[in-house]
Amino acid sequence: MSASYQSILWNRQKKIYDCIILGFVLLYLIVFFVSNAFINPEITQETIIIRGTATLALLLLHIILSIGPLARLNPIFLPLLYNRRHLGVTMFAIASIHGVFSVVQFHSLGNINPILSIFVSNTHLGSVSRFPFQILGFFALLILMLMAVTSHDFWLHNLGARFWKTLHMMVYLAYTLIIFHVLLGIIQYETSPVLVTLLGIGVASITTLHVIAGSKEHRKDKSIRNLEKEGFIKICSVHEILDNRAKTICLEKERIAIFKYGNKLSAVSNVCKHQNGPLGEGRIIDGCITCPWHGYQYLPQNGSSPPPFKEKVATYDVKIHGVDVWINPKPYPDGTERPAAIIQ
Amino acid sequence: MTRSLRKIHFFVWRFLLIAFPLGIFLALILRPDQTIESFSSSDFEINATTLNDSTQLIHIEVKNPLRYPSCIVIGIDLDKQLVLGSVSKKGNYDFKTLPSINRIILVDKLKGVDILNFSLKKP
Repeated sequence: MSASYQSILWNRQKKIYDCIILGFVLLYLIVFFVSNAFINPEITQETIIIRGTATLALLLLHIILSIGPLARLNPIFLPLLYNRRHLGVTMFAIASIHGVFSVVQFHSLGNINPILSIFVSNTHLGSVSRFPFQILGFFALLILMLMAVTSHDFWLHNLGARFWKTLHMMVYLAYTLIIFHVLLGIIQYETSPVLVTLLGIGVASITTLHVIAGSKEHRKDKSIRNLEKEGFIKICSVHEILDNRAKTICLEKERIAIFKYGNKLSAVSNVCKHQNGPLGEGRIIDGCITCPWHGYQYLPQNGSSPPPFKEKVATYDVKIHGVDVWINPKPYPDGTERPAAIIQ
Repeated sequence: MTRSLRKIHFFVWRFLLIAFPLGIFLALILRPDQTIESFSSSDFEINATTLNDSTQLIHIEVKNPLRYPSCIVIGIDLDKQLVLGSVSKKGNYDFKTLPSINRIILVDKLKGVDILNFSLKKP
């Protein structure tokens, strides 16, 4: 969280995270290169680089795509989410090396532009075994590039969280293109079952995780509450909400997080202004609601970030009858101060 | 995530849950026949694999150091001779060539002798 833009806001966690990423990348490439030098001594260094970076980028993409649903299913995975964009940019850099070496190896010796050659050298669009699979990889890399260059809070603020998030959800399209790039490329020629088995396991894991996590969220969104009085809806007992934590409910359009802190209850929108993170899964730290994804903070009584920060979320009226918590689902404009409900 | 993005996300992954297995199944079932012809001797192992309808892969493993000063790999397609390349020392070599190649000959051009003559039985 910052009031101004810096290229990277380094802290201890980010440094540890990045060291682990770098260590893993180097270890993978060294093991891949050395093992291939012994197993396939006849293949060129360029081919080893193309294969090593391809498999590493695909593995990293699977790790990246699994972090989101894992964090939805179990908060223990939230630390992985914190610096996911560095992992994404690393994956793009490795995929770029694969792309550049492939274009140089397969398209640079002709008399036409190498990029144009990707599109015109193979036109068997109706064939499975001879499909121009490199075109799929090209478009996937283009999407990953767009995502990598906008992986910064400067772009997030200027494009808006909704547009930015939609843009970054294009990773699913990129993933689909990459899977078909592999299926219509190397899988058509590879006789060993190892690669196709690993790919199958990866695809099955990712899709299953996303569907399970999506299904859980869908059930939350569908939960209906009937008891209504004077515009307020009965939610739960005050005892159901833990201290400095929230209960999240979905009433009309968006989810609402009801936070309990001290002997007070306040309700704010569940959607963080930074990257639409789930505020209701965060905690009250230093008197502020703290987003579990990247630590953005808001005051519970008015939904505003403490100065000098400017982020604001919508607030809601909460009241307590006996031990029951009631909420009015009509949101107030972002940053509107609302009195907290006092627990007697 | 907002509710609308969650809906899109859930829909996309349910679609992919069906699309990916279908894609993998089709990609595997529509793969071209990869007929493999093999030849093995104490010095060489040769495998010819049809990759697709326009490419054949000739894999040669040289098991022992060559006893010939040169070793040229020639593919024969009916009456045509195509020089595929050469092998020089112990190791693995791959040559991509036309699927119509039906005979492989390893020749020592310096001594003028055939080292190996291997016929590919085409279906």
